[in-house]
Amino acid sequence: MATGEAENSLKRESSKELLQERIKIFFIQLTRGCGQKSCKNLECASGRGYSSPPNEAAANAVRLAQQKATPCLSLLSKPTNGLVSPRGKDGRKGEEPVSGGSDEPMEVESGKATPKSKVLASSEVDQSESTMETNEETAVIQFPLESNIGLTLSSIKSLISKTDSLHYKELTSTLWNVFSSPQILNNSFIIPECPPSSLSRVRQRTGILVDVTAVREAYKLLYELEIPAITNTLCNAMSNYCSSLSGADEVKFSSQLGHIITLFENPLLHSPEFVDRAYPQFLKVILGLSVTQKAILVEWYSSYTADELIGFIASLKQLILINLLNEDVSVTIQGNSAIASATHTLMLFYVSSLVIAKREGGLRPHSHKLVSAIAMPLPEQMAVRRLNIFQMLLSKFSVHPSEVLKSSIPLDEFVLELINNEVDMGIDYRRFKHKYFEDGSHVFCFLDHPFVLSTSNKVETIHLDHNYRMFSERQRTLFHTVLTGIPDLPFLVLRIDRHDIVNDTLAQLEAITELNPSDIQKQLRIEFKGEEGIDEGGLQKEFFQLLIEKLFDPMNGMFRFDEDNQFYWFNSVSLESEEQYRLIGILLGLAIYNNVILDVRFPMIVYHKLIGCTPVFKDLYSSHPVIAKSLQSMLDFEGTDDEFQDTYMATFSITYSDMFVMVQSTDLKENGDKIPVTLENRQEYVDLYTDWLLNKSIAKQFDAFKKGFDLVMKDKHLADLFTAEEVEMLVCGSKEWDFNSLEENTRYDGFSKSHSVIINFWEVFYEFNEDEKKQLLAFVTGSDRVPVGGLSNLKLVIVKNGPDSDRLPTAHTCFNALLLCEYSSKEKLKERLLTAIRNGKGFGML
Amino acid sequence: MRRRRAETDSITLSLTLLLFISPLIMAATKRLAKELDEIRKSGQKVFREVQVNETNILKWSGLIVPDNPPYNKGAFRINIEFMAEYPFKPPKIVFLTKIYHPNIDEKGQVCLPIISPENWKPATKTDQVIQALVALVHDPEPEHPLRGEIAEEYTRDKKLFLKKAEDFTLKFAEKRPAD
Repeated sequence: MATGEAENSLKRESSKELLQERIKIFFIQLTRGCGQKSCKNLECASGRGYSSPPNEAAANAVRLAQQKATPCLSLLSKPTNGLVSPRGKDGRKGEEPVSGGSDEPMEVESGKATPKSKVLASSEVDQSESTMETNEETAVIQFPLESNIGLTLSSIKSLISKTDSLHYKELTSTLWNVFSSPQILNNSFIIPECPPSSLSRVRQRTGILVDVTAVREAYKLLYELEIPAITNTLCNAMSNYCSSLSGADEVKFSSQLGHIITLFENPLLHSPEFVDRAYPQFLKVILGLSVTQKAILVEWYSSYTADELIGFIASLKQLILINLLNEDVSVTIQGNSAIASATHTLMLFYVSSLVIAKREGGLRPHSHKLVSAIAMPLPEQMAVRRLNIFQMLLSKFSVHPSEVLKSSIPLDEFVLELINNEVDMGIDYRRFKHKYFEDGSHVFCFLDHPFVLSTSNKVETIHLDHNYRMFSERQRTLFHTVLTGIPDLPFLVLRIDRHDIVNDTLAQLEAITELNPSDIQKQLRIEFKGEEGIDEGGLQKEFFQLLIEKLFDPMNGMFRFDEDNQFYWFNSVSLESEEQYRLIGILLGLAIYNNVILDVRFPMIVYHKLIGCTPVFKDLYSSHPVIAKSLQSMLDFEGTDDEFQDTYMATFSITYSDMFVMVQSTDLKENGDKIPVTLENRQEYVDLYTDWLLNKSIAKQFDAFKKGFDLVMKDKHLADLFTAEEVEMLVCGSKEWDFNSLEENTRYDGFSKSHSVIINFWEVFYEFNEDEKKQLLAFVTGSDRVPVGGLSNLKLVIVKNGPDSDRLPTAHTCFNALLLCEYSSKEKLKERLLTAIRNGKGFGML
Repeated sequence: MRRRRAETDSITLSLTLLLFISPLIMAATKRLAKELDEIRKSGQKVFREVQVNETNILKWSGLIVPDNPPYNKGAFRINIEFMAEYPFKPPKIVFLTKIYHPNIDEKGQVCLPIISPENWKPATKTDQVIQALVALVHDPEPEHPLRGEIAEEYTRDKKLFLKKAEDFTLKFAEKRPAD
């Protein structure tokens, strides 16, 4: 379309076309400059040292062209086609990308007439510059590139052989021509002709024929020349290339993406020259690609080695860092387009890493649960939440971050620490919920790229989300009450009898989930029957603690406690009802939802299963370490089959002990007790045994447990945002005890930080042994677990509670507040504290 | 722990007949039966009188008859308990007879590397475990003691140790079976 129009207008009004050409040249000059350091032209970005905003540049370009002003020489020798004409300003649509040499003679001609005098005038200081300019001019004439004929390594080499620090114009103008045109780039550095069948799989599938080794060699040779103009040329060419693409239809370059590959190989992309403009522009081009094209890139880069990818990742991170440091504080980070497109590009490498991990066997078998969890629209958020590109790519390649067992590229490489320190998750959450601007363009948010976020920021998000839901539930109930006159409580209230806590909770939660499941979304309030106390969080904590203690008690028979490894595992022969397991699931969900940390100890595989992953043999090490090791040694057995069978004498029937330490047996497959385990089938045996231990034997119990958990967490998309390790952190808190950060983040009320009582308190505190410290924290917070993000997130408050007296210290567990009298001495403080924490079990109301 | 075990056991007794009538010979016990057979046939002198609980092939007992002083003045009865998951979990050994030994504590628990969860290999046969146990009885390892004071005595004053251990053996150990 655009092409046809341009051609017609060329025939009709060639003079107008020339004017238009000139406007474009001025536009480049104003926005990007001519690239010559010696430029003194005040209408040139290089001369002024800054570039005009596009709109202003467009207006000025038109003015300059009308005034018949003189553009910088170097710009005249460069092809300007492919540049988008200033949008809307002069009423013309963008041009098509470089179409070959057809326009070139015209440019050279037009460049010859005017600018020479200017060059001579301005370059008196630097004589060599002026000779270069002349060289360039002739070079263009001497080296007209045939349309779309690309560079090869040998042509680069021959050009380089003719180049020295004074004579490089031939080289730079060739580079300019090639590197500013997607088409010519696509035809450059392609692997030698060979039948399609002999191409590697990745080349066949992506259609990318770039010979990466040749590209790297070429860059290496070019940069070894150490001629600044080469870098500048490549940089400006890249800018020009980007402009030519940003206005073009995707279709025009959809068939082949070799040009992107070639440009991305540039080892100096993250150097100051490129970072300033060309690199972000280039990433914006990538951002603008279609999903299919992005998938091609993912496929292509998944054929790279881990080290190669880490190079790209590092370069992107550097760009983000620089942009973050230059960031205008008044703009949100998400609004910085360089950061946005770099983060988005990082995502392609992230997915590539997952694909690599999958190929190397570092992923769990792909669980369809995870895929459907992604593809399924959320009931509540459906209107705003569509599949983002990240999710589309994940499902296209059948990979998922939660499935990673091991990856040769450490996935925390992708976490952007500085972004995490700076980003306001509240803003990000709002952008995430809105997704699209009014004009339909996509809103960038980090939550669409969760792999760059730190655990604590993701945790913050889930709490934001919960507060938002609780708030909307409150509004809804208010509305309901006003409309119907029937009062509806904005809270999920449980009235619990302390003496029968399990059955009481069970009965009430059952009623709620039957009659009114959405009530689960309300904020939890606990009331203990016959006790006063308003639940500001403290009663909740105690409620969870008491209930968990009861349910996990081995005498209760639901779980077995593994003394050696200090964790609980589902009792496969439990006599308890499934309802009780469902209750535990609900509790875990409610605890996350209401931001309460529980003291439950499950092996990691429980969390993997909770987010829908398929267990593999490796998981057995977390739940059944001794059996896992033994099975591995069975797999490693070296010897004859006879020796093997003689040693193990195993069949496809296994024995286990029930909760009464009686031996039971079960067949792993039909007639298993008659099928001997041999060298041949031992892997099958191990897989079946694993499946039995981690799935089949506890299926009834675990399914009920997961059902309860999903009831609360069903639309939270945990698997999308969190790894199993992070879900464990959500439930159990972090395991690290960093007491210094506790002190640093403690606030004081009534005392100053330097008050003698406070100084004494910390001295006493550090004198306590580990257990006493934890007891003190449990006394103050009602929980002996570290909150997610470490002790610094505990936000301990020490409150003054009157003058010196014999009263014991007290605590408000819901506010994590410790109340101290102004004890006269350190000894007294210590003695009173110890007495308090030793007798302090129970909810300490003042 | 102890009390809990006792409680569980009492429940076990009452429920066993009611709930579980397990098959007499099960797959994993095949290997145990063979091992038992081999040990009995070997006719070794240091480990004899191997008996198996009538209802449970996972529970063995036997008599360790050491050759070397100071323990060669008596014999020591041990219990070997296998897990249902045997051989994928190691057996546990407890001395029923009191013994004065740096590596065996007052409860009769013994620290034997070959059957520790970290070192256990499913290909290890019970016979090898017994050999390792006898070797440990003969040559205490004071570097990894369960009873520090005895280990200290063993290294500091071996004469005193030998004397005490022999007295202890004469006092508490079972009679050695006549050959």
